[in-house]
Amino acid sequence: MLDVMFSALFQMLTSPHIMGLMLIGVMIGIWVGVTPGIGGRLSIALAIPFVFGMDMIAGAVFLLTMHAVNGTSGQISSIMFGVPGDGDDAATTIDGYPMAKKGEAGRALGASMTASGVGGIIGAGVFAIMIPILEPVILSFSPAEFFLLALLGITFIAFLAGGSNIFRGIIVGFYGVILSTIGMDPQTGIARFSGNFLFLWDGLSLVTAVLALFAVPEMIALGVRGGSISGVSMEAAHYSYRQIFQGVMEVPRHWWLALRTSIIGAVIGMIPGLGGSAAAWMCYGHAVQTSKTPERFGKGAVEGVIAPETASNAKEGGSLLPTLLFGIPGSSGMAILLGAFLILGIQPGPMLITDHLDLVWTLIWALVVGNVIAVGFLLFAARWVATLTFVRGTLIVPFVFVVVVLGSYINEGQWENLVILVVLSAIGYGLLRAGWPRAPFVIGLVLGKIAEESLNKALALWGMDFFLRPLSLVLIALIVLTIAYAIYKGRKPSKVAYGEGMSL
Amino acid sequence: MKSTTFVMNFVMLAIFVTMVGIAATYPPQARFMPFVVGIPGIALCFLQIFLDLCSVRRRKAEPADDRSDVEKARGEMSRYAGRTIESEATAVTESAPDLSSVPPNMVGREILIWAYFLGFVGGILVFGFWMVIPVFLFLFLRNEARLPWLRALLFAAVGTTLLYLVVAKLLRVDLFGGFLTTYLLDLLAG
Repeated sequence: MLDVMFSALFQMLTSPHIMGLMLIGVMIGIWVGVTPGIGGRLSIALAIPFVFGMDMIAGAVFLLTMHAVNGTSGQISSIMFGVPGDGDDAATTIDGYPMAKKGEAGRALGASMTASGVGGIIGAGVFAIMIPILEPVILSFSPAEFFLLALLGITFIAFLAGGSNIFRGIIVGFYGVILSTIGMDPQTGIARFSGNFLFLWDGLSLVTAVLALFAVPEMIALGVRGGSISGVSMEAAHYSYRQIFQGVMEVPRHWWLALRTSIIGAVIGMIPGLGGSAAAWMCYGHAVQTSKTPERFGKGAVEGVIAPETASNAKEGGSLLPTLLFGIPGSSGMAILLGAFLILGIQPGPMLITDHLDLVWTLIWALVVGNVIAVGFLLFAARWVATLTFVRGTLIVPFVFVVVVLGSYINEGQWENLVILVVLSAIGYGLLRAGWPRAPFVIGLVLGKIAEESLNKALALWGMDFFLRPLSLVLIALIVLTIAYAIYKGRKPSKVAYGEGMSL
Repeated sequence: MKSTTFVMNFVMLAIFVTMVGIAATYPPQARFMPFVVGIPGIALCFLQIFLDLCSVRRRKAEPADDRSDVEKARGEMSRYAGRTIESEATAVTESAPDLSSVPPNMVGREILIWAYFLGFVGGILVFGFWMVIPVFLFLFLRNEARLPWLRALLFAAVGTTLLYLVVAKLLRVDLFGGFLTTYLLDLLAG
């Protein structure tokens, strides 16, 4: 394994093509992270058409790096202006913004970026350690388990995205699966749901569907709301590199906290359904609980910046594990990334371990190298990158619309996809307006074909008895438990009192 | 309960019913998977409609969660930390965009942005990509982003040129020429 591990690193570092794409990915990821209104999920959706037809490894490295560094730049606006880019960054704001107000923006940024980089690297390390541990489990999976894994993936992501509204998530997931059946049936040769439309015989364009469900609705919402933070002062952006260095040194000074929160974050990332902001919140809570001076938190404690940042970036490495090895995305961002991987020809599951271990290691190294590049760049250029926070939403919207429509067309060169884009965008916008989760749709759509293929194989091999295989029973139990827990969570009254700080 | 939530239940139900109905005309092997997800999908839609109806009264009694991201995070972290976390970081978050929903008083603007999008796609189908992209960019930047004429024109020109270089020159992709434009060009070519 060691030779594969290091040859993957060597090949990646010596390939100008991959390193060039990684640099572009890092720059786009940083831009996306700091610009209000464009989330990490949207950036992957927008990039998918442009990696279509690209070499599997190069395309995957590009997308993963872009996704992995989103959080690193997202913290800039959280610390400098108190405006979090997303839920993960909100945790950093609690102590980062008070530090900036005290004139310590540079120290907070130095600490948070270094913590973010360390978290990303440790997260990738935890993933690497888990590979040999999980290998025998993954290799024991058969088609029966893969069908159930697809169902489990939809259930988990429905829970992750919908919480107590798990049924809505499952409905959206099934909607994705049923749309995946459009096109030629491989068993009978019948064109399902396609009528005389030849362009549908190969199935619904995944790129068009993802863009329609994610990019268009979010851009319309951004166009409606605006999304500028121009009212915020740029005063916080004035800091010295000396302050940055002081911040960087805070991480080795609190190395034990950084290590603990990185591992906690990576483990949380591995558990589909927990992901999201929970890693940052839990680790912030952990930092408060283990501090000898907890009263400093909320008023500018540097540990309050280090803990959530290490956790939220370590989570990415952790969530890559179920995504790649089981086909169950650990987060909604990973759900879209999984769709992109499938488009590139990367099949999640045991084949990755047996046939493409080099790819797995390349992706792990991409997380490490991408984080190092992003941190190095941001430590130097954060003050200029911060000005991107002031870009108005209405300036971004038309350009994103153009990229979306281009992407939908370029993918297959069919004008009919533009009509599909409009129809699915209307449904996607309806889901956004109604507060329904959209991530399960992607999982349903990308795993639908694999699920159908696995189901047919399992039925041919074991008939209906495949449900009684030991591993199948474990997976069925997990599906039932997830749904039961979501229902229980939905019925339990919330402990959090609105509008006031919690005291438990 | 938001009316859009209720409408989405019926949209999803209609999609599943239609697809299962169409699948019923296929041979058993071809209709198996659409039935495996479509029939439970229909059942779940009915269940969700029932749950939504049941929860109307409960939701009315609960206060709406209109806290900002930071306030929510503060609440969560206080829960995990086991003590109250106070912070000054809540003050400026009001201006952060929340993309999860659009307030009812913005429906007019919502229709306008949709009209831009539909007009853009429709324009491409009729006139082709390269004729519509600069016009769309200019109109949106001028009318919605409120840029001065000259700057809007400049941004639209630079944006289109960059896209042309990437798509037509670098990726060497021939984009759709539009039905009317192609027809007219064919007519001119004789």
